[in-house]
Amino acid sequence: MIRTLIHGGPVLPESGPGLRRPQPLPAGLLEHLVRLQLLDGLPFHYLVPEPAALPPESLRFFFVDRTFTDALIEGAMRAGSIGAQDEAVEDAVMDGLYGVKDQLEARLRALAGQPAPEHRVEPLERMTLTGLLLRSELVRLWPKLRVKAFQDGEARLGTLRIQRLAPDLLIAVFAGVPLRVELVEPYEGTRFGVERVGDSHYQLNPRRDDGAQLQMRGEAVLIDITDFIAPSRRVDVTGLGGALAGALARTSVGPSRLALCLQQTPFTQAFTAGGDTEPGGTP
Amino acid sequence: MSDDSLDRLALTVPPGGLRMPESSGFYAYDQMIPDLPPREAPYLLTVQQLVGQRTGVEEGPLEQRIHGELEALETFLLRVEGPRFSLDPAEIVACCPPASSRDVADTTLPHVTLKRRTLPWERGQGPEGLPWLALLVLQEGEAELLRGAPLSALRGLADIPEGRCDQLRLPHQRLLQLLPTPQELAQLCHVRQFPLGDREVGDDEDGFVSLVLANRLPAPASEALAALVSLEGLRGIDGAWQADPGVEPWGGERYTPVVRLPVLSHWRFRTGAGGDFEERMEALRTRVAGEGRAAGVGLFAEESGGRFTLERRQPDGGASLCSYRGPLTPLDPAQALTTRPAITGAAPPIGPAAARELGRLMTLSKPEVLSDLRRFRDHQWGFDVEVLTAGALEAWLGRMPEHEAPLPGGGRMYPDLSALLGSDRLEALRAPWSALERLAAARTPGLEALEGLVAADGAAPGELAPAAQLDELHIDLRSTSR
Repeated sequence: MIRTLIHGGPVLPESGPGLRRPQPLPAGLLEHLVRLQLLDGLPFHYLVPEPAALPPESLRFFFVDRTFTDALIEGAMRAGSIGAQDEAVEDAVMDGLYGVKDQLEARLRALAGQPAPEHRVEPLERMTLTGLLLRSELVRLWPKLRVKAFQDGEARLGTLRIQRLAPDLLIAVFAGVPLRVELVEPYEGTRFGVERVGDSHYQLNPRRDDGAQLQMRGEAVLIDITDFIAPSRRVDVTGLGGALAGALARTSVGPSRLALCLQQTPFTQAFTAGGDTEPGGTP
Repeated sequence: MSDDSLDRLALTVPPGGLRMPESSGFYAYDQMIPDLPPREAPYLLTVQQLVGQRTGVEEGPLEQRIHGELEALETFLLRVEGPRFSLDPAEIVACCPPASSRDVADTTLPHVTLKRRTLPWERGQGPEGLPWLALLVLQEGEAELLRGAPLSALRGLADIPEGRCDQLRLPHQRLLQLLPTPQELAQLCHVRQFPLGDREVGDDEDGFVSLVLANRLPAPASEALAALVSLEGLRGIDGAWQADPGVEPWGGERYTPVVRLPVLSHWRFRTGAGGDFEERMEALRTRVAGEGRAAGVGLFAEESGGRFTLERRQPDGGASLCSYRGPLTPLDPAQALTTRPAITGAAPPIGPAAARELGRLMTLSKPEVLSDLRRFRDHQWGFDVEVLTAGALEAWLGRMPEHEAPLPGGGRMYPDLSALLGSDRLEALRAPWSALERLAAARTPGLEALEGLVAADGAAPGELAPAAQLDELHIDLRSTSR
């Protein structure tokens, strides 16, 4: 009886839900909801119910279905609900200006580098969330693989989440719809090497003194160096130096120039809207 | 350092002599030969003084420029030491590929970065000062690495002290096949100058490092040994490599010309079969999507519009089909309303329900979040937790058996309340609780009575909100029953 008296029914008008401005969510709760919104911590089979939807060596782009994440948020806000009062609060604060979803949207915008105005008269318009799933050896071998999303030209889209879900699985969530996404090889210190073409051909793109790759009419100049690599994989350094000197119109190349031409820079693979892909060199 | 600065490359050849490079680049030098290279025999250092008059000659030796008597003041023996048979690990800034790394691209040319800019030329050979260090890449079985072998086993070197060092033992003929020619060796060593504090040089005090590149690509999908070896004493009079092999057993043969070289540093790594980042990315990009886009690049679950038909287990052990659409969809939300396929009755959709339950469970699994949620609800309700915590009252009520719970209005304090809450909290609790007691005693349902009681008690309505959440139905029933 006493329990019922304490927890039951209607409320004093001045403290009732719907009559107050929704209170700020505690920081821990807000971050939890943000993680849910970004699908962080969800069992993977909720994201990809069938393995065939993400086979090995595949890259899949997606939109985030906000109706699903809204349901996640609603479920989270109902957790531990023990009575009519709690439900009344939850119903009252979910939507509307400064409601839970509005606060969550503001937090997402802040994370994306597009902070919402503190004082506003209408709830924020909900932004479209997109992302990608990469299941590939690339993730395992280059765990610091970088993902960049671009809205237009060089204008970057905020990356709200980038995380390795498994040794060979990476997810990224963007704040908006990108027109171009770049997967960038991480920088792992100075590296030297050659480029392979096909199974048994090798090439190099000579570099000028300032490090820029040699180009002709906007295209990278590539020289075939297959003949300078013996079956034992020993490199004919003298022959290679001569070929580079010829390409650079010099009489010879010294050790530092030779090393510069052999130096490898992080590779960038760009995917553009419409399905085209552009392999890139230096980002 | 910004993220994008990772993509920087180089400046090469410093204009106008030595100077510190800009933060985004480095200078490169073909060689740096020390003025006083290390050697076993000491140098003779003589300090002389010349006092006299200028001759008017501005260039040339001192004796030509100043007329006077040269006086020797003191003579020193100066020994310049340097690594010869081993290398302090601190002298190595980095090696690439890193030691013990796996799945290294077989198009990588290994190299080692040394802290001392002059190190590759310190025991230079010949008049042109050829480097004395070479980085060899060896496959399994091509050479034998001897740890701590006696220095006396090395041949062709003068002034060999007693001691031990790591040595590479391999057939003479194979060594000649693998070694870079003297001309190539000169091309494989150079110096770079980075800004102080640059990640390439760490805490190096001058920003200079020397690099030694290998002259061989590692074989694909195999174990490789990279060995920084000393070629001291290996160069013949004619300028070519001229080792002094010993005849030793090798590979089942009893008499094989075998050479031993001092190894100053070595590490192993393993190459993969899939190529480097670019090759793997290219393979991903150009992979021909098979039936149902088995691999390659595409939209998630494009064929089904993001829907999956799943088997749903029933509590009775049976199964039925349901339609699940998760949070990932190939559909642009802006167009989804017109393109989303209609839900068929045969497979009921479970996505939102699953999401709601998942969100609830994920929150319940985090006590700190649950506590935040509780606090948010209470705060939203206007519940002043400093006056009365729902948890404490709940606990107290839970400890009171229903038949023993005294009815409010009796005017007495409950015996276990102070023990449970403590005297401070009890005082805080007493005011709203007594108001509630009197409310119950008044047998008057409705908010008007409550507000009257609250006002009479001298407390603001807001403070009493938690205790004054009336269940009108309950009070009605209570009134009826009395």
